[in-house]
Amino acid sequence: MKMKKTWEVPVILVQQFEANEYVAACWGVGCSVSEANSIEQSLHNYDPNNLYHGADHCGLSGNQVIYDDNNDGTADRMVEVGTDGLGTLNCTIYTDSSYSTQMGVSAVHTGQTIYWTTSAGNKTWHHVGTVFNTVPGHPNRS
Amino acid sequence: MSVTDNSPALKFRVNPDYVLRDVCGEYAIIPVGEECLIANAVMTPNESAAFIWKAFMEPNTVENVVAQCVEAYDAPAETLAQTVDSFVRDCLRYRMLLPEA
Repeated sequence: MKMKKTWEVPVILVQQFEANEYVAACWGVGCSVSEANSIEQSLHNYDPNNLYHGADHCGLSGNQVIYDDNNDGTADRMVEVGTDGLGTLNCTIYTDSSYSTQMGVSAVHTGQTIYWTTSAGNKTWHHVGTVFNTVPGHPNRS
Repeated sequence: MSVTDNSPALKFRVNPDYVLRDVCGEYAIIPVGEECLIANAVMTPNESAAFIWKAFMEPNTVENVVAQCVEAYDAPAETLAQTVDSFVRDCLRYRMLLPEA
């Protein structure tokens, strides 16, 4: 006679993955601070005490954070964190150094030089940097 | 009241948007359909749940599945009927089981 198994209340354990709005984008960008400081100098009276680009702030690629708000695998916005007491700043990306034609963050691709601004109060910083691939072999895909 | 009190011959089957896989001796149910009510998840059925799930992989009645459980498990038939009925209700709620037309 076949041995019967022990009955247990049937249960299905559900382990749901929580969508994270932060996407580990396959690209990153740090501000080329010397070039950006030159841009600021050309645009207005350059005051290094009040308007400058620092290697330890926007110069760090980790301080430009890319978000995928709707978790569709496409970057939606970029913000700068780790600012000098200014909180998180939204980044507006432009196609060229005239900072006149905006482009969406989703259009950014590795190898591209992008220009972006951040603002706090009545100050605007003009950044520039070259986008690099953060995940070898998987450009533009998280 | 049983889920099939009004239609004991009603058959149910596993929603094809969910697939059962044996992963190293443990079962996993993975939602693969685009409109699964439970999505972005891995579900782990215990042995009894997997048994019932497999019984419904082809259209089957609750009565038949209970009968299969009575043959396979050492438990009172009434207990098996109640717990299978409850399990089927829950699966229907999340559309993991579907009534067979």
